[in-house]
Amino acid sequence: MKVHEFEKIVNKLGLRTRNSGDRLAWFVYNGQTVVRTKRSQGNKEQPGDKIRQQLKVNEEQLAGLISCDVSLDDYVKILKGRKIIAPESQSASPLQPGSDKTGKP
Amino acid sequence: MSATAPRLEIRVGQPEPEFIPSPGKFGLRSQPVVRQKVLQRIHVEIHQLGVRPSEMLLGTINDLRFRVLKPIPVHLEFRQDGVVASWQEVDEFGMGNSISIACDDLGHTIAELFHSLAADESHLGPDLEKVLAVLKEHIAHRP
Repeated sequence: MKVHEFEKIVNKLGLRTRNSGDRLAWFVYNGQTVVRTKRSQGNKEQPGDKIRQQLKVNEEQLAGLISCDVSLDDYVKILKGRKIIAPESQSASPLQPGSDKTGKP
Repeated sequence: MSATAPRLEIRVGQPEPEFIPSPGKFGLRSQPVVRQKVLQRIHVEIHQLGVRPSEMLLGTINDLRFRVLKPIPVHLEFRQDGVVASWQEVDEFGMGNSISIACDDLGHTIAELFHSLAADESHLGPDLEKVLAVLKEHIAHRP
C-alpha cells in the first residue's frame, strides 16, 4: 500500500491521527475508539495486509476504501457486521480529518 | 733483421661470446613455452543460507516506561522491502530493514498502543478492549 493510499483512507474515514515515530490513526465512532492502524513515516511501501487486518476489512473492501466504492457509512456497516462496533451504537461521530487523538486540530 | 711480426690469434670454430642474462632480469627474451594443458576440476558446493526464524519471542521492548511480564510472540515475514514483525493476537506490526529494527519498531508501537488505549480505557470498542486486555497480560508500566 502506498502512503497516499493510506492517507486517502485516513481522510475518507476521518481517522484521528498522531505522529509518534510512526503515524498512528484511530477510528472513533459514537465516542468510542473502535479501530486503530498505523503507517511508518516516510515513503516506504506499507504492508497492506497488516493495515487491512487492523482496519478489519477484507481485500475487496480495502480496495473499495482506497477507491470510491466503500464509503464511511459502508465501513460502519462492515464494522457492525463484524461486531467491532456494538450494535446499539447508532450514529457516527463527526470526525475532523487531521485532528489529533485528543480532538485538537 | 729481427722484426717481430704481430701475433695473430685466429680463433677457429669458436663462436663469439654472447651475453646471457640471468633469469628474472630484464632483457630475457620471451620464448614460447608449450605446456600441457591440465584440466582442473572445481568443486562447487551451494550451501543453503541459515534458516531464518519465522517465529520468536520478544522479551523486552525499547520503551523504558514498560517492562515485559510475559514474552510477546512475534511472527517474522521477510519481504522484498524489509522485515515485518507482527504480533498476530493484537494485529500489531513493526517494519524495518532487519529483524532487530522490525522488532524495535514493533516494541515502540506496542508501547504507544498501550499508552493510548490505557489513557482512553473507558471509551474503547469491544475489539480494542480485548487488545488492551492482551497487552496488560504481557506488559506493564514500570513502578
